[in-house]
Amino acid sequence: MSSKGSLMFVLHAHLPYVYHPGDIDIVEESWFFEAVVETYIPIISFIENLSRDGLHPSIAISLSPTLSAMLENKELERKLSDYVAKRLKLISKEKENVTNPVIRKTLDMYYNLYSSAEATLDKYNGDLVGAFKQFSQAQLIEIMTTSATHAILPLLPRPEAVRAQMAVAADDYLYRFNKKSRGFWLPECAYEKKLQTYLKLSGFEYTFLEAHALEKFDMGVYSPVSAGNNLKILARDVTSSRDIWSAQFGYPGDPNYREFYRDLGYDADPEYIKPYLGMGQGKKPVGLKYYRITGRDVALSEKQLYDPVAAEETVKKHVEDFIEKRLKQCEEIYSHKNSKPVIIGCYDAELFGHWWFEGPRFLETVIREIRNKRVPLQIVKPAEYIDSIGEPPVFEPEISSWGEKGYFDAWLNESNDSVYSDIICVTDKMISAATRFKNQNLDRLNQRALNQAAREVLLSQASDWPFLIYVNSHRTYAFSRIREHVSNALLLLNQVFSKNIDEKFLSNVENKNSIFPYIDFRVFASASKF
Amino acid sequence: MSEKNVNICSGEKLVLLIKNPETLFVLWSFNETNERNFEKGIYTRQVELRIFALSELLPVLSFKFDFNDNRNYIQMPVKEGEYFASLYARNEKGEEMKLLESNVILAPVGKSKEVNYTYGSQFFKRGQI
Repeated sequence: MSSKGSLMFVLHAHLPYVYHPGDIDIVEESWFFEAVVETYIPIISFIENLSRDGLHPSIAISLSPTLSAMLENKELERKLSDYVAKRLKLISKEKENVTNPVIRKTLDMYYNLYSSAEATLDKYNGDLVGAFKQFSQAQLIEIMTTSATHAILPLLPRPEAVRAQMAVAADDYLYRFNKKSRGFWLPECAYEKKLQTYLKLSGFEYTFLEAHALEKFDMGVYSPVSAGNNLKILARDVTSSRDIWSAQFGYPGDPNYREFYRDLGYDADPEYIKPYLGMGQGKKPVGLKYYRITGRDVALSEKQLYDPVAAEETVKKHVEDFIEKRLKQCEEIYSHKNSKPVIIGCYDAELFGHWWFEGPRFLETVIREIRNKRVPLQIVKPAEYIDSIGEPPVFEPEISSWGEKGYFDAWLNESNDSVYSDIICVTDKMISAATRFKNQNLDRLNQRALNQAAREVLLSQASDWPFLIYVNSHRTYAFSRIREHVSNALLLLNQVFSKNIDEKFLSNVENKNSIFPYIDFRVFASASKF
Repeated sequence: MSEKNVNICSGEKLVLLIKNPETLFVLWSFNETNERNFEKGIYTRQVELRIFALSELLPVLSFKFDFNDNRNYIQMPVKEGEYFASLYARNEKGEEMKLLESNVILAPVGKSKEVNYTYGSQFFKRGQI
């Protein structure tokens, strides 16, 4: 049977750069450990499972440079191993104490999850980027990059800063994967027209936008378009995304699925759980969650016990529903447009596993069912799809993002706008310094100081900081990170200009914010290689 | 007007950022000389922000602010096109001076989406209990 249309799954994997060398039990580093165990390793596992059974996953993953750097960081790797070992110890202790058979089933599930994490880390020698690289080389998946530190590019007023975010990301990808990234994930799908020029000049062939960027295009989001400069635009389908993304209407809100917010770290006796919480005050999540969502308006204290078997049955039901809806959607689009659509589902990777615990299982089962049952839907990767369709029609996309209200409100509002003065100011100073020194023969120390200043400026621009301030979560940490990077960059630039570089300080910040090892500060210069 | 914040990086600038198709964010800071001129009363406290279309000589919008109210949300010009802003002050004799000029923005057309619009980032990076 010929296909009724194509499905494209795009997972955007990103975490801000949260590396605190020498420190232990940093809460923000646990974001990374949780995401590795609950999301990245389950994704690796389902790619392996499908591949072992001769089924191509054909998903696209955008791996942010900050996440990739953390995945390759040896100290974080050691801390991750400790984190996993500690959780396995806690699970064993829980198994000794818990008699309830339903919780014991859940504990078995967690044992498998953490054992699998340990085995996967062992199998790839701790190199999870290497695992993704192998899958990409085997053409099982496609990997693309995103801006260097996940900056919202329309909120950078200087073109030099936008180009630096793109060029550093492009070089970082080339260094890591030995080839260029054809695609570019725009952080939060944040787009404005000037970006198409910089994307094209940076060597990227396509990007993804939010649906309403193409709302005036007659084929809607179901067919790529070419922006004026031949940059290919693929747009997110809201209908299929809603099934998965929406906490209110989507699958992740099903009463049988695991409740994210009720965690043993909050429920257990403080003395009992203390050894597993690490240092610092207060209760923290430990990743063991024994309850299910139960109902939308059910208080956390009233939640019922999670049953992995019931959750698995629900996954099957949702997979069936998802495939049926996509087939119907393809038929409807074909009947209106007389053209086979491509339905593009873009998601934060961390939704799968971390937020929606059953998400990786859902995605694996969708792909498995479509492949095994020869459902007339093609699962396609972006580059192979673009290569197969000829020249798409030219259309100028509109300014947009996939954020709240469709634009940049979440990253620029009264709660967080105070951070932009410093970020823009230090970026201006970096551009001036790079332009001033770009053709000078600098000694190693000056070169190092300017390169580190460039790293600090990029890190200050991360979208995560204003977002965390906006949602009032880790707000102090977010403010402090911007302040730290701005302050480091200013100090280093001042030291370069005053010919008085403090080598000890430079070594400290190089050690701490050790991302982009091959960066050249000249990427910020006004008359750059573009 | 947004909350006051102490910044650690100083340098003169006038910046326009697009928040959404209806709203522009404007941000400025002065060099030390101009800052002093305001504080000493050499310049009047009120500054005028004018928005110009790149293709036109006359401003399409103008707004008056206290020189210290340096972060504001203003309405977007209604016509799609390229715009920039200039910030003017007056001295004690009433003479007008242009102090700052902004980056150029491409004003979009469109309207903000409904609050319940299905957007991607509704799962926060770290939720609250």
